[in-house]
Amino acid sequence: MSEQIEKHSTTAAGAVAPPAEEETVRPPVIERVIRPQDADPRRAKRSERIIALFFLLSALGTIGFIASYVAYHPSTSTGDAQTSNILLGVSLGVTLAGLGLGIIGWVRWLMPAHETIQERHGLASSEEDLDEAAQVVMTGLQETGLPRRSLLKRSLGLSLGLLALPPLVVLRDLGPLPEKKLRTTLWEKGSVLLNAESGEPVKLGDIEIGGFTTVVPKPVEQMTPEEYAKAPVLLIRLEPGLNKPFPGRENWAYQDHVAYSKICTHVGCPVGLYQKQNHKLLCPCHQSTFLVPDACRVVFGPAARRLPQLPITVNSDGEFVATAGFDEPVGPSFWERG
Amino acid sequence: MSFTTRGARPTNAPTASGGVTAPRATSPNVKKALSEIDERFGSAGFLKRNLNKVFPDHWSFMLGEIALYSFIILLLTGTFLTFFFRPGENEVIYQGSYVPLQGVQMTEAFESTLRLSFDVRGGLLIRQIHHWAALLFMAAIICHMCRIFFTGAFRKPRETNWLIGFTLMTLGIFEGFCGYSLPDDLLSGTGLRIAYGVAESIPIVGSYVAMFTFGGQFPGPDLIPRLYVVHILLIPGILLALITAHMLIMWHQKHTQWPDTHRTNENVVGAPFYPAFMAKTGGFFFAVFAACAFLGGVVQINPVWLYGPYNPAQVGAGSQPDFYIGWLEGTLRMMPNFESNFLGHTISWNVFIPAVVAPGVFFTLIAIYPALEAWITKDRALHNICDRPRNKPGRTAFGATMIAYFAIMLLAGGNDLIADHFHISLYATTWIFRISFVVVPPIVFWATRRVCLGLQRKDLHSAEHGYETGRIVMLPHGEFIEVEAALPPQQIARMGLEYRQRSAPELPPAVDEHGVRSPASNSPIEKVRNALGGFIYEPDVGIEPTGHDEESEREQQERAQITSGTD
Repeated sequence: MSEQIEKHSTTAAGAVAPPAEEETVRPPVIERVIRPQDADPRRAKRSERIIALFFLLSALGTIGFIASYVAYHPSTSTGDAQTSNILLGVSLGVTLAGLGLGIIGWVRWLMPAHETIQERHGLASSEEDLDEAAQVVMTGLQETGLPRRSLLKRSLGLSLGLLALPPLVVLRDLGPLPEKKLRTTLWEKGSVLLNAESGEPVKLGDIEIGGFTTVVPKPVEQMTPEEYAKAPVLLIRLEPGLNKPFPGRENWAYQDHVAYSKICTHVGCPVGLYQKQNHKLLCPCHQSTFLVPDACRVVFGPAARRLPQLPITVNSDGEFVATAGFDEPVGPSFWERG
Repeated sequence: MSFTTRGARPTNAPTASGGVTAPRATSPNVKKALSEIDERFGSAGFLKRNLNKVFPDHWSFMLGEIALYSFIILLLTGTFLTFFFRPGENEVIYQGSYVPLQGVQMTEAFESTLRLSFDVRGGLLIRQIHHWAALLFMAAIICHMCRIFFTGAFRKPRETNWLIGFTLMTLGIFEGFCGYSLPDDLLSGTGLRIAYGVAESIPIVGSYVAMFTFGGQFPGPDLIPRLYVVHILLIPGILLALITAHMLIMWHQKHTQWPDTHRTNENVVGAPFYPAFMAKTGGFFFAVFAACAFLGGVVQINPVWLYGPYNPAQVGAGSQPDFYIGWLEGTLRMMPNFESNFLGHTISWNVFIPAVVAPGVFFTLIAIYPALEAWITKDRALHNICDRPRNKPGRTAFGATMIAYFAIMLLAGGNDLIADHFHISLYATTWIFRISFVVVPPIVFWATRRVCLGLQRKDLHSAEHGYETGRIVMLPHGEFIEVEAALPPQQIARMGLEYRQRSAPELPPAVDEHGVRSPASNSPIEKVRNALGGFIYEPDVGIEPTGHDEESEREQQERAQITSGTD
């Protein structure tokens, strides 16, 4: 290795070519890197001290970690939880950073950083080896008799092919069949519209003009999570005379009160944002926007269908009730929906 | 051992012989210990070979290391979390120490998440380190893949490792999604609701897929326990196996390297693995862990206690998933609302295309790119030298285009935040992203290619003419010229000019010497290949001759004489 280039050289002596026969146990060096630390033992000593300082810092971090673990118990107050987290995190960070930086400094300042060279030696084998390997493969295949015995081949193929089925079959009970499950909700004729928060029936006059509330057919505790997930309905009181009923749904609203499924027809997020000024319902997930007075027509966003409407009236106690269930599945579309 | 006296070692001081020579340091103790192992495993040859293994060094080679170390951090912190987390769907009343949620009904999963955050010392820290490490894991994987892509390090013989890496990335996305869905908080529950809707959108089998995955209708009684097993056992197991394979293959095939003076396609230039490289990479592990620990301690992430337990009637405004899922959120938001009905069946293109088809196409392109490029270029050679991105304009432009798509999708996933922050109409942002999605990537493709070609020309020019010295010389006939000096050979070597894309792959002659049309040129597949090759690889700056006629050559020589004379 006659070629020798210096980086960060501090002495002229470093430029002299070394004898090539050195280092037989190591890959040959092609480029010497002489750092200030190599040239000057005092600088090396100073670097060593800096590195040791990092390691000491790391040790201090560990002590700090244990101390903050003992000193703060998060369950005493939320403020303590925050302090505990910060102290533990920072001290652990110091521990690890001290170690990491110390080691990296050690490598960069004190360990030799010469460029060495190694041949790659192609991965491919010799032609003879390949030939022999191919022969071994073929001989073995002949020994099995598989190429000749077609009955064996076909019956084995059948048997192995069928073996793919049990793992599939056994997964059948991962869940129920869809059947009509996605089409139905708890809402039916006579369901009282209950406030989702309080579980109390919503009465005529409870909602101010321009106001809305989320209602459910049963108190939340009495529904399964699956029932609850399809149940939320928005009861909205529009300004008088604003509602333009969908043809055929003239009696589905009651005195400017309209009820629509809260589950977005796009991918099923709750359509949570009602903009009072322009009477639009906005789904915060993907911004599908429904115009409430126009029977929740989609006016923007990726949803393709209107929100399903729940026909409502008011019973003799002044409570809102459904006059029927939904006449279409609520929530996102699916293949069998039709 | 000689380690303790580093500074005093004669090998360390620059001597007349130039400095560091390895001491023939053999210690009987070390030899005895190695011999004990060797007698059992025959390990000395293996050890000698692998400790001496040369690794080239460059900052961009650290990206994969960051991913590896984040994975180790994830394993460590994740194991701790499993000691406290309970993947239950049963409803309980919270009675832990976080006051605002006391008395609230929630699932066991959410309750145990709160408990490990507020009643287990260090629990919140470990949770936050785990989440930060997950983000770092995915970010590092994506950056690492970009490094591999833009330097052509996926080419033969490394195609397998590209596919393994691609699988790791895909599984990582899935693993992350499972992980942040586990606490069953309002944000992640909304994500699962979307996932259910996406499953439902698959034609024919959609509702079956959804029912079987979730164990019934949304939210499904079995989902959280299933996600848990997938998250802590199934995927980590596969990841661990694949990462091991990834590393072993990399080790066996040896690392790629950037072009440089001593470097060829047949050698490796760098530092031996032991001790410097090994120590540095070990130190780097601690540095990565330290970064995660600081972040976990100081920067709050996924504060589920603020979101509250999942409730299908509620949703938080500005719900964004983690960034490696966010691009799918963007495609869902951008897609126009197409849906079709025929013969009593519904296909919601508005969900199926952005959430299933688009990522399918995107990921397939990423997975098959190495095969695609090899097919187009008909390149069957082994490549161990990294391409400089400018030297492969077609590939670089393709990669930049993919990044542009990804960036637009990701930004569109946060369009509500953008609208809010910059006071733009929400609907306007959607239209901006819809239009950008069509318009921007082709512009990026074209611009990247032009920039690459320009940079190549600059390289060629400075390799040929050297640099301007700033010294003005008057020639005998009165002309003033500026003296140019040749660049140092290393600088030219590092340009990697000899590894440039020389030209588009050769077309087979349409008509051979006997006037017969070649069947190859007629085949439609070959036509597609040629079209792609032409589209991606033409034009190339290297094709044009440098344009020295005899006269200018002579003039050049004259000038050289004169300028060297004045030196």
